[in-house]
Formats: sequence, structure tokens, C-alpha cells
Amino acid sequence: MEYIRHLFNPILLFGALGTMAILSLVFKENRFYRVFEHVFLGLALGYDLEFTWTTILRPLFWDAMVRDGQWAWVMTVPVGLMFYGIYTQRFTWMSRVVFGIFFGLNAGAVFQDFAGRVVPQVTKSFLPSKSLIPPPPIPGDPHALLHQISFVLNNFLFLGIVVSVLVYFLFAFEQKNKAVLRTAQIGRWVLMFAFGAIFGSTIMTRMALLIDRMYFIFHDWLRLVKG
Amino acid sequence: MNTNQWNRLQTIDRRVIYAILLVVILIPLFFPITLPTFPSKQSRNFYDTIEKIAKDSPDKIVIVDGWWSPSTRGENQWQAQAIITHLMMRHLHFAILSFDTQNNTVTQSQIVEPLAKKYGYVYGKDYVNWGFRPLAAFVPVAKGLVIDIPGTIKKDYKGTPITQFPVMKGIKTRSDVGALIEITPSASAEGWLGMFEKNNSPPFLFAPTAVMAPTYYPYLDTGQMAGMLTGIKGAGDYEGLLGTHSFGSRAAGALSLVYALIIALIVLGNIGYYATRAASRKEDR
Repeated sequence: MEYIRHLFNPILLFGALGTMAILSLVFKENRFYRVFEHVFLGLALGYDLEFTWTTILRPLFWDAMVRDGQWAWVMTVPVGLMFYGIYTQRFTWMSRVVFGIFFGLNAGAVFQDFAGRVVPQVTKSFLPSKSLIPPPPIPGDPHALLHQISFVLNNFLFLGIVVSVLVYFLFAFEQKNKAVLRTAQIGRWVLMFAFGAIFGSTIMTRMALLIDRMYFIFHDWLRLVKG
Repeated sequence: MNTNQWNRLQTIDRRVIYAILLVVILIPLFFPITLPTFPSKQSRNFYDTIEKIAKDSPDKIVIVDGWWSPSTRGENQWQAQAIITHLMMRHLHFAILSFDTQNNTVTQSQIVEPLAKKYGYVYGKDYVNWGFRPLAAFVPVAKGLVIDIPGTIKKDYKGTPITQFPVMKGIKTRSDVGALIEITPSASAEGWLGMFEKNNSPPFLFAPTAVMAPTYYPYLDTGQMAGMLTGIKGAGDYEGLLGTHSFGSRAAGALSLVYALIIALIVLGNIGYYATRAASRKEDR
């Protein structure tokens, strides 16, 4: 009896039905799927709206005005409405003003982002020529020779890949020289390896999500899987 | 065999493939397969960084930022669970921050509260929930945390001023942060690296879904990231390092079988392709 009650627990039942409905699409487009697709979309949107109002807009904007008397916040309403000027020819200029301000703010932030995030990568890619000379072995390391070889091999590969990919993206002139062509070809190959790794990881994510859903159905809901 | 017979290998009904896939996933769930696990270097570095903070700077606060929602719980929830378990095991203070509306509730109610009961963590004394911030406010929040944490966050998720909590005592700027942990299904690391981090301080620890991970390996090489947990594999690695075997470890067996199936199907499809071509040439002759 307890198990039956558990099976019909509304939250678990809804989760299980939703999972089966969404997965049913892989066999065929059907109404069961459509219903739950709309339910999910509606739930997510409704939740977002409610949560944003409750945690951001009401305490920081509405309460600040109505409860604390900070009526200056009301000035943000016409500024926000200026965004909608984009929908009429007459008031488009209004939207341009606020868009311009936001673009300016973001453009400033992008400089900092570039300096903090990209520049270290560029500077670290300038490996000195000594990077191809193995470091002295660590005392007591039983695999010292192997580590030294892998150090040199890794750095050699790194340099080779950076150069070949950069050459592949040299579109400023026609690549006629055989050495340039070959290097660019290697660059294309290593790019394909990278894309393959990304695709493989995509499959890993999709499968992990499916395994989790099956775990939910057979462990959390049906309780057929133990542990 | 003639062309049509070989061609069947390339035209297996997708429903048959899905049915086999389902069986392959279910077998290790019913009969757990224990595979030897070898934590990746980036998972171990993630673990070692937390251990180092617990040893060298236990008074600092760790920020656990989440951008994930239940749609990627298959990877992110188990990563978050393993990471927060580690923080609690070492009794490190931490703050939850979310840039996704669903994330804050899920992290608080599904992960932190059950673990807090287990490890005796008290809200406000050992950890705090800084609440949700809209994505549009990311840049001001990230930049604000650098110089003025209480002034940027102001209140917790229930509206209580954060300065009232003992856990926030002495936490003023970025230098009071032990590590920034980012659990995410999107490219959110870039914003933190550009706007918050300076010379890899505090250590930035990243837990993305597997699909996002390859893009971020260069950041590990440059040292901009101290460690990374790659999807469910990373969660499994971490559970192994902690000795708390949960879903992450269990999913590793299913994932390995699924990979074997996919590789077998790719091989079959290719055999079908080449054999069809050879049979077709033979028939033409």
C-alpha cells in the first residue's frame, strides 16, 4: 500500500510522466509530447517571472519606492520604456539612446575582459625556445626520463599545433607555397581532432542526462534500482 | 551478400538503436559495474586546491556560483553535490550565488540543506546563500565583488542583511575569498576570468557540463583555472577522491557501456558503407 502511495505521489508521478512524454519524441511526434512540451515551457516561464519579481523587482524596486519612499526609482520606468521605441519609426531614436549607453558600458567592460582573460593565453603561448630542452630530473623520480621526454614532446606538439593552425587561418594571401600548404593542411587536421573531441563530449553530456532520467524513473520513482 | 543486404547495416531503424541504448543504460543501473577509476589531472587539481584552502586559509570564504538548472541536473547536480560535500567535510565556509532563477532554489533545497543536516552545518554561521542575480547584472556584480562584497550583495536570499551573519565576518573584498567555484552548463567562466580574477587569485575552479569542457582546456594550461570537473566523469572522479560513491560513480559504468555501443555502431555503419560500395562495384562489373 505504501508503495502504491509512493507511485502516485503527485510530484514524482508528474516528473515520471513528463520524462516519458518528452522522450517519446524519439519514436514519433505525438500529442503526449506536445502537451508536456507546453507544460514545461509554461512552467519555466512562469517560474522565471515570479522569481524575478519576488527576489529582484519587488525588494529592490517596488518596495524601495512604496515602502521606503525612494521615489527616484520611478525614473527608471520611462528609461526602460525607451527600449520599446524600436517598434515605431517615430520613436526609434529613443531606443538608440539607451542602446547606445548600454553598448558603451559593455564596450568598456570588454576591454577589461580581454585583458584579464585573453591576454594571459596569448602570452603563455609564446613558449621560449628553452621549452624544448628538458628540465633537470626531480630527485627520486622513478620515471624521470619518461617525464623529460613527455615534457619536450608536449611542448613540441603545442608549438607545432599553434603554428599550423595560425597558418591555416592566414587568408590574407593565396597559399601557393608547398610548405605553407602542408602546414595549413596539418592545421586543418588538428582542428578536426578538436571538433571531434567537442562532438564526443556532446555525446557524453546527452548520455549523462539520459542516464540521470533513467535513474530518476527506476530508482526515485519505481524503486526498482537499489542503492 | 548483395548490396541490399550490406546496406541494411547503414539503415538500422532508429527505434531499434534507441531500444538497445535503453537496455545498455539500464543493465549497469540494476547490476552496478565497478570499473577502476582514474581521476583526471584536472579533477585531482580541483580536489587538491580545496584541500590547500582548508589547510592554508580556512577563514576565507568559498564562492559557489551556479548557472545550471534542472535541465542539466544529470551532470551539474552531481558535481555540485560532490563539491559541497568536500567543502563541508573540510568545514570551509561558503556562499551560494546564482545567475539562474531555478538554480538558487535547487542548490539550497536539494543539495545544501540535506548535506547541512548530515555535516552539522548551520545557516549564517557556516554558510550563506547570497541569492539570485539576473544575468544582465553579471558585470556589476562580478566587478563589485572585487572591492566590496557586503556592498554588492547586501542581502541574502531571504532578505536579511548579510553583515548580520557570523560567516560574513571579515569578508570584505576579493582577497577574503578562498576560491571561486563555477558550476555551469554555459560559457560563464569567461566573464569571471575577465571581470573578477586577477593573476589567478583567488583560485578559479570550474565544473562545466562535458559539452563545454573542451573549450576550456587552454585555461587550464595557462593556469587561469586551478582545476576542472568534466561533466559526470568529473563528478565520478570527485566522488572517488572523497570516497563517497553516489550517482557519479554509478553513471560511469553505464556511460562506459554506452560508449562501447556507440563505437560498435560506428564500426558497423562503416563496414556497411564500404561493403555496400564494394558489392555495388562487383555487381556493376
